[in-house]
Amino acid sequence: MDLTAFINAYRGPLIGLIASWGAPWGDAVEIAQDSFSEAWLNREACRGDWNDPEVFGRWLRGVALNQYRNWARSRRRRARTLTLEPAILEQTVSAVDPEPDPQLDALRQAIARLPSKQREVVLMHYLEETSVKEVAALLSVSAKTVEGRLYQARRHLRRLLDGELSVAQIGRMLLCL
Amino acid sequence: MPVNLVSEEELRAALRPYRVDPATFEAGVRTRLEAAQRQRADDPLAGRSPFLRSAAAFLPLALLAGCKASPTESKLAPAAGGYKLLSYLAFPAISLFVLLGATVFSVMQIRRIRAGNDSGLDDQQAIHEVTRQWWSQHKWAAVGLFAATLTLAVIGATWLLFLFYIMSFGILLSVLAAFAKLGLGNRQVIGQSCLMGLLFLGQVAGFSGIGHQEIHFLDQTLVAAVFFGGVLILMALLFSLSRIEREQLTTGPQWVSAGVGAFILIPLLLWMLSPMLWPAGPLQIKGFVESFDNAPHQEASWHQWEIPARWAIESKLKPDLTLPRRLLDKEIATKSNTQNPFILGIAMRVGLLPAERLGELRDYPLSRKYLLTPPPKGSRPLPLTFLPSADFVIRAAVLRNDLSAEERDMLEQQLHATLDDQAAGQTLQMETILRVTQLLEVIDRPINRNQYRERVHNWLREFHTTNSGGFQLAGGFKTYRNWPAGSWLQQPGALEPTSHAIELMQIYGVPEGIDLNWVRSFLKPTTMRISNDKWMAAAIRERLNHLSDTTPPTWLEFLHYERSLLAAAVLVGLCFYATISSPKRAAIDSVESL
Repeated sequence: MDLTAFINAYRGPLIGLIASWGAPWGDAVEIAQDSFSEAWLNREACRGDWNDPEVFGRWLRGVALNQYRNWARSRRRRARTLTLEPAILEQTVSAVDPEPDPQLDALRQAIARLPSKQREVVLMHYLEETSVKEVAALLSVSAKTVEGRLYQARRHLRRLLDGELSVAQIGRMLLCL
Repeated sequence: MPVNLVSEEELRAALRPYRVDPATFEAGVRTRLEAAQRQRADDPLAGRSPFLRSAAAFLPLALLAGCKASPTESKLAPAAGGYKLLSYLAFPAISLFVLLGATVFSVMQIRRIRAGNDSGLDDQQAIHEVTRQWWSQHKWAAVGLFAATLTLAVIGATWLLFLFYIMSFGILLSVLAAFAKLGLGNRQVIGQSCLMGLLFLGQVAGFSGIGHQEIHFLDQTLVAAVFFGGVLILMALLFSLSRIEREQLTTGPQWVSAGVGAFILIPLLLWMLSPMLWPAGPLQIKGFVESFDNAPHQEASWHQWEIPARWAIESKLKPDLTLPRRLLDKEIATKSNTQNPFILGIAMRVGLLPAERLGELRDYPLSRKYLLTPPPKGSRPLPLTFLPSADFVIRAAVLRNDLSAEERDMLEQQLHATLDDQAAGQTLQMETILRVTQLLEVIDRPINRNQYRERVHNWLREFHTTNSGGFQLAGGFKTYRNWPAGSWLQQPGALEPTSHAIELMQIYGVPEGIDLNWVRSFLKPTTMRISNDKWMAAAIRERLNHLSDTTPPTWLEFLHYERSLLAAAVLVGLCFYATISSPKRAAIDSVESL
């Protein structure tokens, strides 16, 4: 696999994955580029056959996680008052300034409220319409698992958009009572 | 009911604004790659952790990379604080495992290359030069380290020594793993370095008598065996690696050196593992007892035979005593004036002499007469001055039913007087206490155990020692109450008094204050005990293991006392891991060619 093919195969899901961890879109792209560079440069240190998508997917995710942690550490050092968690996509919406569509805005906000495993597959799969197989390779899970999570995410999103409460939310409210 | 899902189109539309231009993205990646490659060529450790850079200041990178010295080293910025401290901790392992191997193997390589008129001489000379410079820079620290290693081993602080090296090697391993990711270091160099380090530690462990002063249930020669075993496996690994890398049959001198190494190490390992490979179990002890047909050291040989023989008989192993009986026949038929009373006593105790053969004991009538001459009226009963002679006469008299009740009473008083007399003096021995107790049983005047228990326990505590020396381990029982004054050596334990002490414990119980783990440690199977000593120790050990009111050591105790062995195994495991996880030379070349 040459560098271009390698980047084209994993670009979309990797950016989506890093964004799902909490990095703003602009930073996610930078981290993804750093990760590709680092992973390619040190690919000989990858245990197993790095031409195997499953092996290299796992390796690339590990490199990206390290890069993301470095980025998060340096960001914490720069501004200790900032927090990463709330409204990941809200920050990025204002940064990128997409076409103002209230319906799509609501959907982006709903994606940000998804459980982390559902959010990561949505961002990885739909950002560049990457195949389920590549997403699965990067996450080290089966394609069926990714499909299952995508289905649950879409159902969850519909509920969130329709203002329905999830079972977990109902449970939390009952506990508060 | 149909499931309502958000459409895929909506999702794509929501995320479309965040897509990146593929060409711009790839250009960004390529720019980063070029910058990283430039930086790597300039300084391989650029951007790495301060600890890695600090550790690298101790490690000649040219040596690890297996190529000519690079100017990189001079650019390594010294780290500060905790990182520096950590890298100092790696120094022992670097000195022992990396530089020692590099020094030896680079010289060997240079000689080989010169002899073969081969290419690569410059690289090897560069490596040798780097190693030489390192030694001259860190000469005193390295000398101190080797001295400390030897000292710690000799004083018995092996656990501390190995723990220190494990910590140090752990740090070195993390440095090597990080270097391997950068393409620095190769399996051959790391393997050779580990090999020399293990060889050094094996020699230290094997020849300094480690563990003699501590409690151990396994022979501590095993520690050296673990190191040498590691050396042997690494040798095989490196040998096969060098063949694969050269893609040709290995040269003659390499075959010879590997053969010589194996020729020395394999018999050495077999000898070190002999207590485990050829254990002295009950059947083997029985075999030894049955094969006794020669006593080269007269009564000394008989004494050494008696301990396993009596244990085998008492344990109902039913040994065939034909050969020992024949040997006794020769002794009885001796033409010298007197038959050896020690040997006759042993024969009586073991049961080699039946009642019908007692008439053959020439000295018996006279000895009996002397023994049973009543003391003058009004005087106190006299102690028996020569107990071994009395032992055989009393036993023979009982066997022949040749003792009246009055004579038995008199003997009882004499035996008690013997014990009281010796107890006050310096000549008391474990054997005297045991024989008196046994003989009182033989004449049907058994000792009042409750009355004597406290005194016997005190004697046992007094005779137990944790001194080692004179090829004896710590934890046995002393032969003499006090060592001759002025001797610089502390009196160590010995097998015979330990055997007597264990038999006394069978009769009087185990005294408080004596840690039986010390005694188990003294009696453990060891390469130090050869010939008869091996069987004596085995029989005493079996007797000790069957003492009532004692529990065998727990697994936790076992692990605690064998921590040096475990630490050695961990260290060898770390060496294997470091070698196997290091990249092959081919992998490094491909990274460098990027």
